[in-house]
Amino acid sequence: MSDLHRTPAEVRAELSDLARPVAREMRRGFVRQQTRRLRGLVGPTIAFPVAYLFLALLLAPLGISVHLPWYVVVPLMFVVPCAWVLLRWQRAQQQRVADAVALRAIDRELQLADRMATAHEFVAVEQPSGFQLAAIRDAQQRIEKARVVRPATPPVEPDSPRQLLLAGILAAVLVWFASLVAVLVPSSVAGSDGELEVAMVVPTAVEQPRDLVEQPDPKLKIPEQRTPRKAQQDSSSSSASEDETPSDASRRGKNPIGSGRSAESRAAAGGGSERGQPSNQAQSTKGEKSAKPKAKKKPKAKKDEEQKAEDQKKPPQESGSTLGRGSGKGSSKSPTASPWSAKDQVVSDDEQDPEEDEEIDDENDESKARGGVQPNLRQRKPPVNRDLQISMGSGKPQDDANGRGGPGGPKKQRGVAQLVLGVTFPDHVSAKPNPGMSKITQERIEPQAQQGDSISGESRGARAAPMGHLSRRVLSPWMQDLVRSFYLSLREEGGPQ
Amino acid sequence: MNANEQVEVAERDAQRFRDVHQKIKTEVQRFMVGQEAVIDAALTALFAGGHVMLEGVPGLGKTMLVRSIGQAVDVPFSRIQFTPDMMPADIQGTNVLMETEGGGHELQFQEGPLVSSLVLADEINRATPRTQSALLEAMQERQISVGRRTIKLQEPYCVMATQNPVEQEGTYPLPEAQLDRFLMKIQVGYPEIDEYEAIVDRTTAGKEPEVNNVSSSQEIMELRDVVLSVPVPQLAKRYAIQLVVGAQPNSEFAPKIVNEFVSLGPSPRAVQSLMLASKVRALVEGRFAVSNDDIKAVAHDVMRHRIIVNFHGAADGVTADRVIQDVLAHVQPPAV
Repeated sequence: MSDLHRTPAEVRAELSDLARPVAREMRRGFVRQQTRRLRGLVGPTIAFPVAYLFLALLLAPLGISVHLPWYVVVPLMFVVPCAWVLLRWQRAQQQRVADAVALRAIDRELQLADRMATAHEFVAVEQPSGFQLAAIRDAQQRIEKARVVRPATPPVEPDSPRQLLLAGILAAVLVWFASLVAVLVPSSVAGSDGELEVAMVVPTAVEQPRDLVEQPDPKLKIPEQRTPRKAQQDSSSSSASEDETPSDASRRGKNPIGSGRSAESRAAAGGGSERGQPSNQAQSTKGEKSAKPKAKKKPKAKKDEEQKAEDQKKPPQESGSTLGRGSGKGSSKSPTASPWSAKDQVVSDDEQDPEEDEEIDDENDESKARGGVQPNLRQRKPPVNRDLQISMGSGKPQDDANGRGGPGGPKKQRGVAQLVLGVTFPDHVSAKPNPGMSKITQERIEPQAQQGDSISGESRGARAAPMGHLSRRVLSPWMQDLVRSFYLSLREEGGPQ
Repeated sequence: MNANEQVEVAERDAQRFRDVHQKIKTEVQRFMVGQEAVIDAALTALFAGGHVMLEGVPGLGKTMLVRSIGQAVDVPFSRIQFTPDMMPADIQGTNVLMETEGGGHELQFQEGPLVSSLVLADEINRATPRTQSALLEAMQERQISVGRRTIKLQEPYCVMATQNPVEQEGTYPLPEAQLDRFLMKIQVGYPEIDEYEAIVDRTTAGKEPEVNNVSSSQEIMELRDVVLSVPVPQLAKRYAIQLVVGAQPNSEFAPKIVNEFVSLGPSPRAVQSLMLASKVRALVEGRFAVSNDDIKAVAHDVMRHRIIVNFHGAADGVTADRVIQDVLAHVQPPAV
């Protein structure tokens, strides 16, 4: 039994001594808990793969490959989780457990109702009241007991490694996908920025005169690697331009390049012969859209120079100079090369795909050009159904119903339309008209004898009046034979038929 | 007075408190079978200097409990059976024309049943709001004003009201302002099954047990001072505040159920009530300071009538007790 008559300072020192090992043990438990918590490793495990994939996807449109070899990827996958564990362990080591917290843990363990923690607070009071001193002494009596019993720290069991395993699998998949993206990107797009720029310039340069074509920088090499589709197109188009006769070309609706034509028609023809390589004319209108993804990369200054050169090269345009010769693209409209006719040129299949995304933008631009007054007639959409006619509950689904025509038939039958005059609705009252109350009255009346006139009998003679109409007269057999023989003889004699 | 003497006085006061509390409880339990938690709560309100509301279905002994406490503590006791036609003058008192010895007449003020120390307000929700509001001044200010006359009520003053949760037709639910003046609202439930036999024996044997006076109003007042001198540690104080704030919608410590289903949370008066009730419980438990366990133990009784559940909560069957349960689970005692 400890001495109860101690000063508050002595009690405070005792409480601190009591709290110190408990606080140390609590900190160890905290460190164990932090280091064995596998659940927190899920994030760091997939952090690098996610970043790798994000970077690969981000740089793929720019043609920059971030492909990393496996001997770099695998260590990097482990670096982040290991660093995370190390950081958490270091933070847990630095965690300090206050004496009050440790004493509260002792109170909880021994069910002391905060006696130790309360005493620890009261010993710091300068002039404690009688009850505060009594509380300190009350705690003091239990210090010895608290020294013996060590508060049980909660057992730290490691988390199930299932989540971490799943995270590892996910990380591997992400890394594989990121590597795939990084590997595939250079094959579809040019390998570097310089190459990409040259690749974009090349199709346009084919259409330009030799003297206006920019000589490629010897430092920049034209990429040999293209997509198979593109290469096939190039080969087929080049072979067609070399081997085809004019009749073959005209059979396909493409004129061979001839001399003496206007530059515009030549450009259109060129667009037909070189599929996938739009002419300058086409670039200014519809063809510009087909080459937009690449042309956007082209510097604006260079584009202006090309346009100027084209204008200088272009002779004064004859009206209908290409009339009857047919547009190279096979436009359904007049072959007169105008910006609007060029806009409506039918594009080839390989140009169709990249344009699909821009169709909506172009339509919006057209609508804006018309002042936004007219709707775009290309959409061919049915007008909005504004029919407010009541469907009388037919229940047929309306194909063009879009909610603007009001509620459907069943709802109208139940709703306000029910109250509108002229809207019939079935009478659900199944009943008979009320017959009303019936009254039966009985009267007691004595029978009375009545006198009647007597009728005297007389004989009736034979009928003298005509018999009247008889419906059928039955002939005797001999009379029937007589009539038959009469008509037969009459026929033989050729009498009246 | 040195420290040792201070400690001895404190220990003696605390011991005296426990003794008196136990005596009164024993006397009440001679008359009342079971319902120990209800008896403790009622005595807590008596020693803490507050008023108590007892709510339960008929036949559970609410009136008997209050009457037995009044008999165990030798204080003036009065009983008011509230009815819808009762007027404030009926409970406060009024001037009555009295005949003097000389044959003349004069107006004399005759005190109502409110002028007492322990007032049993039976079925308080049957009175009109006008009569209910006559209790407000008495409960809070410990005085009543009739005309130009103000009467100071005698301490210890404690109103113990009963209320029937069923048969709400023709009743007037107490307004929040009046509910807040009650220190505790105690739910009186059915007794345990093994207590029924004792109830039958005590009430149908033809001899009712007698309740003796074991305390006095003076002693109750002294013990109230003892209660007030119980210290509250800083952490316990902070915990009580966080609990009360946690029951207020859209507060920092409020759980989801409070934000969704509570329209009105407890007022700062709830913190005062929590502290007073916790002090009484700490003394009863033999401690000299309030702990978090005391606050948790009295939280339901103290905060129950101060939480108003909104329409959605009432429709979903959310009660104030469930809200308090969630608040207790959500708000953890501060570590440091």
